[in-house]
Amino acid sequence: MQQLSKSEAQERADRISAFQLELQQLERERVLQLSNAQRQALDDYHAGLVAQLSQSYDIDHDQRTRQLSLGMRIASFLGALALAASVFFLFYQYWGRINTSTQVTLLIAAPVFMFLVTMLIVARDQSGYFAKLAAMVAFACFVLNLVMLGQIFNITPSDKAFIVWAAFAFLLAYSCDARLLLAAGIICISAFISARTGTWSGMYWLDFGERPENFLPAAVIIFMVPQFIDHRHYWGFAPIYRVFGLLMLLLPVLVLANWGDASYIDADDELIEGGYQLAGFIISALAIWIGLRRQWAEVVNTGNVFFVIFLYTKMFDWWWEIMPKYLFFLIIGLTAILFLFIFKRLRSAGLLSIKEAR
Amino acid sequence: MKDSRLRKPLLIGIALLLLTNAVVLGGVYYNRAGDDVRRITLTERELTLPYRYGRNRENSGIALRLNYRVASGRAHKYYLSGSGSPAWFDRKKLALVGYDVSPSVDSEQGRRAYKKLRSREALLVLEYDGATYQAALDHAQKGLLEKRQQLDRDPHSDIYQNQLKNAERMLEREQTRNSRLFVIDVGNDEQSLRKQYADSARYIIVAGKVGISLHVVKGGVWELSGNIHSVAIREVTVPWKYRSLFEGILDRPRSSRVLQQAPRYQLSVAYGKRLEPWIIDAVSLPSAQ
Repeated sequence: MQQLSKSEAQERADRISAFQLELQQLERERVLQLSNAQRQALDDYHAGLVAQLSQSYDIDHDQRTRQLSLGMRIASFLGALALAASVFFLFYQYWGRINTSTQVTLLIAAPVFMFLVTMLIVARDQSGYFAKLAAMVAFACFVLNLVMLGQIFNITPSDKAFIVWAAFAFLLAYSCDARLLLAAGIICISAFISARTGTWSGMYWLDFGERPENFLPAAVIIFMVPQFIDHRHYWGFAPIYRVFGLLMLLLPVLVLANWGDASYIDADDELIEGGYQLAGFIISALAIWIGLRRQWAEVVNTGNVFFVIFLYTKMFDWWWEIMPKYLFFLIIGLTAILFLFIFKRLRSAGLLSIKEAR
Repeated sequence: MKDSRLRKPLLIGIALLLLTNAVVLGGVYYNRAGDDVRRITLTERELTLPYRYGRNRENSGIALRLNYRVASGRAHKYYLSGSGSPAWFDRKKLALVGYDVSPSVDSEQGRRAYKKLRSREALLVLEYDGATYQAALDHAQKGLLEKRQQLDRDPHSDIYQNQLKNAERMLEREQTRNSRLFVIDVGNDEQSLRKQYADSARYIIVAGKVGISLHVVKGGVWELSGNIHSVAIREVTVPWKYRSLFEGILDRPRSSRVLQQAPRYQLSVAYGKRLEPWIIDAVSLPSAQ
């Protein structure tokens, strides 16, 4: 059997399950009838394949195991966050009572040790949950490592810490198939790019959040990553890049659409706000269009959400003061119904074109 | 097969962790090595202990807060806080730290351009127990004298009596408790500042954050001035070997700390090549007994 990722193996098992259910339905409706020999061969083949996939990749082969896996994922996520917080507070509680050499040794040893433990678990544990938990603790230890060295030796805060944290988070994310760590890596690298954009414009790096436009270069870079790097073997990674990219693009635009003073642009605030409001509509509409074309559901959904936010924000600006409140909310409700009709027609048109293509 | 696939990430991860720490510790060594280290002696007035509330109770480390002041050009002249617009931080100094001050403040467009400008990194010069502190002391003494004369003219006035008490408290604070560290200059060229302020026992050069301030003065005239925001390193961690000196003070009930008059400890602080500080000596003062 060719080497698959866990997500590819799970997809195969899900397809087999769906195929078996559909085959049963077709047989009941007398559309398709397999001979006993054919049916037996098919069942034997699928049973063997699912057993092999379960053993090799620890996949969910029925609804019960799927529900248990969801529970394990939640437990792993909460456990990881709690353990990471515990590491921080444990060190904070006791670090002042040990000498500097011991402090430094512990701070360096902790992430190295946890990283080794993580790699060991990755090599041994098929489920991946324990590995993700250990990886999160390793990342927390590395963040603590640099933060505490900075405190112990009174080091000037630097944005360069973000780049090494990002590198470590990405390494762990791709080694353990951990989407939470991928998100952490994206946040760190975006913070670095945004801080650098801020310093190139002359501002103090820690104040990079005061100019939302500092996030725009990072937004474009993050969104484009899946276009240049193949993520087929990492289920859910490409959507995370795209969603974060869109959020870093549309949130600053939303802020600037309401607060033009925060922009780099030297123009009247109302002009800036108007420009960004228009940009917000165009970008979110483009996101919906691209998402539909490329079948990127997450891009469509994000574009939808922001299009609605921009629309309702604009309606608020136009009508909240001059209209009775019941009328304002009635118009909002009617707009939502209008959107429902538009999406229904688009959906029907899409189904019709599929039928015609056949 | 899985183990061999993990070998590369394992090596990369270990190398990343060790190299990062090597760079950080190398930077610490670089900061503290060589002859460019400046040493200054400060007391509790300039490096204060934290309050033991909330999060700090969960943190066993002790960090002293650098307490410096700015002599503002406006109403409350000698601020107790570490931010403000000193009179010497004018248009010329703003240009020196990298701001474009060519737009005119008299035009709407010019004022909009200035309002757009954000804070920048700059070097701050802190003067310890120098001419600026002496001026603050003189200001408090002058204020007390004025209030005494006021009360002499109207001895039965409750308002004047209260004002005299406040003036006495202010002078007492200025003499025994307020920080003697003042920001007296800004710049971008560390070497020229080191040359200009060569007395390391009186001047510290630190990295900090400055901004631009646009305001209306008398007569409706717009004025441009610089604003001192903060220093980059506001807290200095106490090394473990001096911890016991501060633990006793921190463990005392808060009321006794408020009533204390004179500083209870003295510190020798060094600032290195990267302008990062560290404590090289700490002694308790007689008032701590």
